[in-house]
Amino acid sequence: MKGSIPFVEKAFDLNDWFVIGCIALSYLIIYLLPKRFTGSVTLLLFLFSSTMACMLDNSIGGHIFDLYDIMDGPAYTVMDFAVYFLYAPFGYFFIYFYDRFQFKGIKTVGYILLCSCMSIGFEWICTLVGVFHYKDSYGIHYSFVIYLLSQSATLSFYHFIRRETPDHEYDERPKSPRI
Amino acid sequence: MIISLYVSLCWLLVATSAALKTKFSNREFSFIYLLVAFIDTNLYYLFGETFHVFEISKNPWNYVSFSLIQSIIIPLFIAIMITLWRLARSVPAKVGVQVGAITFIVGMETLSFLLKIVIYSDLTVLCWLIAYRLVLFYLQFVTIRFFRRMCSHS
Repeated sequence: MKGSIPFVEKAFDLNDWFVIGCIALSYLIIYLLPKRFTGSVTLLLFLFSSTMACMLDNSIGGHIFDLYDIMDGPAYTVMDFAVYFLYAPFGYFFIYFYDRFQFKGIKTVGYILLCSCMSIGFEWICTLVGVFHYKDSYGIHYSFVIYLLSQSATLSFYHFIRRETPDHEYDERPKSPRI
Repeated sequence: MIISLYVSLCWLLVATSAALKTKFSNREFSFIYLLVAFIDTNLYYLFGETFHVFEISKNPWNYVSFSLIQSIIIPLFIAIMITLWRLARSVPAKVGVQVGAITFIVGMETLSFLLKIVIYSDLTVLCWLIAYRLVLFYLQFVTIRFFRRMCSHS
């Protein structure tokens, strides 16, 4: 095994402070907001957003496709990993306000469009501070399509996990005699 | 040919999950799938790109196959097997699930090596990768207990 995982690729500068600041702020807001979901639903929403981001980053963002870099460059650093903790609260906020305002039908379409536009706005700020670096063929308009799809997927996932009631599914199953 | 094999495998696992949907707990299944996908995707890229334990194929079809293995096949398979293990009531059924899981994991890792999806020459790397996958599989027996406890307390 050669090498080790570096904390940052170049220097600990603006983009690293920005990511840490955003993570701290977003988790503080989650802590302060009135609770709407059970611990298991919250954990699943966090996990879903982080995993989707990580799958996309490691497939289209790296290796042969290499459409963009996260943080200082192509190397995988601790701060690259920390970015995944930033995706989780955004997925949570997206579902939180969807559930809070009980959007239905065409309003849901509008809500996804609005959130995708806001996500593009945030990504643009991230690009300015150096969290994302696009390579030659990639542009922010591609991200808009990705946000539309990923937010629709997050919503479908929320409906999927909401379908079961905790008291029905999580009671211990009756023990039957083993053969 | 390689990509057809892995896309077919993805279809098979997705179809199996859909067919067994009524027997699964949506939250438990999602939890195992997402956790395995998160750990596996990050660690495998870390082994390949940062630690250079192996090289990931630069052939686009092989690379797509590699992404399918990391993000869909292994996580979905582990989620199905853990859930089947929990549903199995008899000891032979539980043993069957374990043997099936180990065989599949060893087979998938060996196939990735033989088809040059991940490239390395030292066979001890293959042993380490199989061991890693098995640890990942058995780790889920522990994490699912914590998750169930969390669900029953919420």
